[in-house]
Amino acid sequence: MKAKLCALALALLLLLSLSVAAFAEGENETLEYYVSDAAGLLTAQQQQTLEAAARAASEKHGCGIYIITINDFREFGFGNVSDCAEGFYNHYQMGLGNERNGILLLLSMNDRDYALKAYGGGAHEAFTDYGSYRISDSFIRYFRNNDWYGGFADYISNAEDFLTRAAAGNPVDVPQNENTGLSSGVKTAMIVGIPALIAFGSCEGMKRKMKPVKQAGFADDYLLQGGIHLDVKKDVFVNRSVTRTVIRTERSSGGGGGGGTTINSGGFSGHSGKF
Amino acid sequence: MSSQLTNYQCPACTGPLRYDGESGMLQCDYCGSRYTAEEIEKLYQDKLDQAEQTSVDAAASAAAAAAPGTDNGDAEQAYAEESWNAEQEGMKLYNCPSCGAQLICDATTAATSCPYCGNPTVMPGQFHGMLKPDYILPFRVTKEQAVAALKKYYHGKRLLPKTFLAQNHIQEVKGMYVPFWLFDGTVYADMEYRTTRVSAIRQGDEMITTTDFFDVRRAGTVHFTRIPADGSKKMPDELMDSIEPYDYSEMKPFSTAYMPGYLADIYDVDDRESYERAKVRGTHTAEHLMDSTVSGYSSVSPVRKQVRMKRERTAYALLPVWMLSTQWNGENFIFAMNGQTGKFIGDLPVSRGRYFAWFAGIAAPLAAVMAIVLYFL
Repeated sequence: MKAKLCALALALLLLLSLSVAAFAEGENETLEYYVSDAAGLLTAQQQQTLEAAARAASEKHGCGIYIITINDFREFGFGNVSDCAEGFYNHYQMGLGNERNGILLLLSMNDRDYALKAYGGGAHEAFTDYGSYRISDSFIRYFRNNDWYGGFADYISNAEDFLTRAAAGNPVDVPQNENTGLSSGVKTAMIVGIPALIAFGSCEGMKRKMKPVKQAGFADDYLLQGGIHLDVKKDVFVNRSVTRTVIRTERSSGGGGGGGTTINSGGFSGHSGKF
Repeated sequence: MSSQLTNYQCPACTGPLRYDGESGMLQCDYCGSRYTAEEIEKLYQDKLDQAEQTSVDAAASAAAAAAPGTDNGDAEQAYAEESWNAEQEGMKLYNCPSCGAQLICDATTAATSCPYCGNPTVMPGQFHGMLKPDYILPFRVTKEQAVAALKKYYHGKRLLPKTFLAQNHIQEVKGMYVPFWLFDGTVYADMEYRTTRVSAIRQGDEMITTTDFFDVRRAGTVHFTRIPADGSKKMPDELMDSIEPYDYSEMKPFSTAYMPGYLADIYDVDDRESYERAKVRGTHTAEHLMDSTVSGYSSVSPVRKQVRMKRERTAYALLPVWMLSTQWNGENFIFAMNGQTGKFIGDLPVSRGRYFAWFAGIAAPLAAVMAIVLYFL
């Protein structure tokens, strides 16, 4: 009950305080909770469980693992969900330690947008571009089925796992052979095969010019002027089929192609997308 | 029996006349006189009428003189048997009206030149009855232009063996009137297709793909005029097809006056056999036209087609073709040129060495660039 009340209080607080005007200097606040469900996706019990898990993992690794849900990022004066997440992170002075290490998952429910943002040197080391997408790919599977609790639990679990690996000096990043995506065998085949195919096509084109004699298959030159009469032209709609395909989240906002972590001018790494 | 030959002679100097494609007139190479085809036709029609009258008189005299059992009758029979044997071999005997030499020609030959005196001769008897063409399309391209076109044709052929240019020799250049059947016809096409129109929109993290299915039907008629099909077994069909099209607006009613100086054959493939080729071409074009009216769809699959061509008028025409042959490495290469438009075509030999040199020349730099891109960048 207490948690629910806290969530409602946060929602009210966010709505009242996170206006464009509220981002003036000196109005920064602190956030007591790691899980703030202003959109009302979780039960009190679920929120408590997630809060406990996030708090334990955050304090263990010195890196905050945050969740915020809202109805629409536009209500807070932001143009996109990514800016909204960064705005919240700064406004509430999120993060632990001097570097304010932390990772925030923000869900904006109206358009099913999400942003996953990391801040601070320790967080950037643990949540590489590749790792960040690994985390989002995993929780999106739950959110697509409206399994909010499952998705958040998965996020906290993965974030903790990634922090553990980074602490061990082995952060989750692009596997070496995925940097180019091609084995040496494939490369060799490409180096030999593609030029050979192009050369073959060009040479066959030249050869065709040497052998132009062929039997005529059409009589286009002998059409009588105005001699084409279309008497029946019927196009009858029969039926319709609709298929829905889940598409992978675009990764352009955060890079992700070559390993490491891309940090923007605001000091954030991560990406955004839809679920 | 020897058949009749006509050697068009210059009314001014009695020298042989030949048809000059460039000027479109009959020309005497000896005195330089020129005549239109109509003028010569009229002149020779008058001569023919006189000859027929003389022939009737001579036949009456011969009938009176020839009594049964005379030696004269046996001799004629022996000569007839000899001629008959020659015809059995698919040949015909002619006497050159200029030098009197006996010419043995193919049964389909309708115009040639005497190998002894070189005079161009026409066999008007070949064009009687069903064998008489409706039209003739006179030559416009000269022999010199045809030879020049062959040399030009070699340019830009990157796979042509180097030695071909140096060693090939033009064996023969023949201006020929080739017999063609020209078919008018109407194709009736009734075709059905199953088509789809696909649209996709993104909603959130989902791509919603909508596919609409349609049954489409097109039916109509397509009219063709003068689809050509050569009526000569000697002429390769694909070579004759490749020099199309001809501009039929320049076609003239048939006259042998356009033939001196050129070779000519009568048809030995009849219209029924040739029509099959024209029909295939007509129906293919009609199908293609029907297909092209089915547009705006993502996919189109034909499910039923009923296409038939109704043959209408058929014309028989002699169309001008320059045939050139060269020999290289013991192999003959035949080229054809449209005697009206100058369109030139023929297969050429391919140098394996040049083929592989080009192959390596293209593949090696590409491979080097790809290696740099894949391994070093």
